[in-house]
Amino acid sequence: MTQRGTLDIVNLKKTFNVNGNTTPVLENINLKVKPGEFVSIIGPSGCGKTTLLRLVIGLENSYEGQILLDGKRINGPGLDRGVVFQDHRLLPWLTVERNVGLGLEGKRNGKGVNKEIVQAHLKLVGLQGFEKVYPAQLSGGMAQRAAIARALVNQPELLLLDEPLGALDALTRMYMQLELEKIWQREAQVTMIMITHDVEEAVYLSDKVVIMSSRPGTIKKIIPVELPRPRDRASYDFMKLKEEILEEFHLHAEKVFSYAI
Amino acid sequence: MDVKKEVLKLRGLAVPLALLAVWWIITKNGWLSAVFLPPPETVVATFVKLVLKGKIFADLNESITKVAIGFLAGITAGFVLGTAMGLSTTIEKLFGPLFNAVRQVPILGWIPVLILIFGLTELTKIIFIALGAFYPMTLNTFDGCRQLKKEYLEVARVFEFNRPRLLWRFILPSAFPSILAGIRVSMSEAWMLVIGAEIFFKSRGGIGDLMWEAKTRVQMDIVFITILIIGLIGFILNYAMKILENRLLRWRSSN
Ligand SMILES: Nc1ncnc2c1ncn2[C@@H]1O[C@H](COP(=O)(O)OP(=O)(O)OP(=O)(O)O)[C@@H](O)[C@H]1O
Ligand SMILES: [Mg+2]
Repeated sequence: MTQRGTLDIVNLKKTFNVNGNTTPVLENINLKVKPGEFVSIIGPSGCGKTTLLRLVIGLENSYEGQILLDGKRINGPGLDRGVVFQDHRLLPWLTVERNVGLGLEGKRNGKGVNKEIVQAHLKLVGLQGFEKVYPAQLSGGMAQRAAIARALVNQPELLLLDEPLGALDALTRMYMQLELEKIWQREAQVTMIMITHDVEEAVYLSDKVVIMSSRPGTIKKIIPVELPRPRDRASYDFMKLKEEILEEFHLHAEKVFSYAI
Repeated sequence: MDVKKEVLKLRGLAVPLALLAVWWIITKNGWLSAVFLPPPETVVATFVKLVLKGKIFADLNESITKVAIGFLAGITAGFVLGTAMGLSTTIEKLFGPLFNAVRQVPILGWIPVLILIFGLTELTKIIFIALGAFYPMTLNTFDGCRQLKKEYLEVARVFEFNRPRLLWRFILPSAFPSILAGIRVSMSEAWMLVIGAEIFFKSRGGIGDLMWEAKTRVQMDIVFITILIIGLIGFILNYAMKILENRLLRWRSSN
């Protein structure tokens, strides 16, 4: 029996049809994610990271190969997976409290229970006291935290994050990385897959970093990060790992450069 | 500082006050016959007389009741058709072309048909008003229902929302600003049309009737008063709706 929170991607291939032409976007993707693991996906713009995530979410349904969650083929979105979109996508017409509680509305839990769950999650992301506030009144970081709370409220086995901190300034972003790590440690059973452009963020948070290359998007390398937590961004091992990952992109960039001459 | 702000708030009164001054100067100097342009003080005196007689309140009541019924009927029908067309492309394809064709006929164009079918009755007037409220309400509701962004639809899918909950939590709230604007425009339309209804479909009582009767008896002061009252009530209705909208759509602004 596969454990709750296991993701298995086998020989995944995805093409898009644009004006009658089929363009391959993802090819030969093989990835295993263990329960409770934190995996980052990093790669050049347009290499298919979001597409890969959308396939796992179940928002894209035509593909070749297999995407298995706990051994079962993914078929459309489900509450077993929580999603944090890059643009937080909080509903502007609902208060923070209502937004976070969205995933509970279909459940016959009773009002009191749902309220408690929402409260607990607002506390988890440090948004107590902002229950009645509308998203337009939140800062970027607060909105992103509300979005994370909303995604966690159903206790998903898998949390999928598409550049959740991409729009934040450097300081807020570092702060949110700490928060994200805390949340991941507290919700011990949650498997997290996060797309990022930030190498340091990937090394800081992940158990492994998946490096992708483009046209068509493939997995170039999977680098395990075995540094003890909490991680020291200034440590030699940390820097070395960061360098190693950057190297992968330098090589790539060099190639583009040589074409340019 | 604050005084300046308060003064600025009153800017909207400057032009009406200037017009009032011009009016007063013209009548004072006798540049126009009092038959065409009664002096302000005559108008005020007549107004006081009308108020004391009390019939003007009965007239207003008469008109407002008709507007209220026609308006409610019109926006209800508009809401139902607008939502139905907004939610279902089948219904849009079935009713959309007909609606758009019928909409091209000016409201005034329906007067002969209405008279021939329903006669000069209260029902005719209410239908006439309802028709005016119906069009903008339908259009705004329809547009609103189509405004939900694809991104939010994906959120609904991620949370496995079914159709009724999608409608309640996503489609209607995102349509709400447009629906409220529809209600506001329909309300103005209904209020303007009641005057026409009372003139074209011969009424006993009502502010439009008061105006028309005054015209027949060449009582320009009363005509003036009715115009001012109609304008003022329309203005107040519109303003009240605006305030209501800002209240209900608090989520749109950050403050
Ligand atoms: N619905 C679609 N139809 C056609 N092509 C698409 C569609 N969605 C994505 N693509 C194409 O697939 C490729 C990968 O897109 P994707 O959004 O997954 O990239 P990404 O790695 O997330 O990029 P970024 O880092 O800029 O967000 C792009 O070339 C894009 O043009
Ligand atoms: Mg992307």
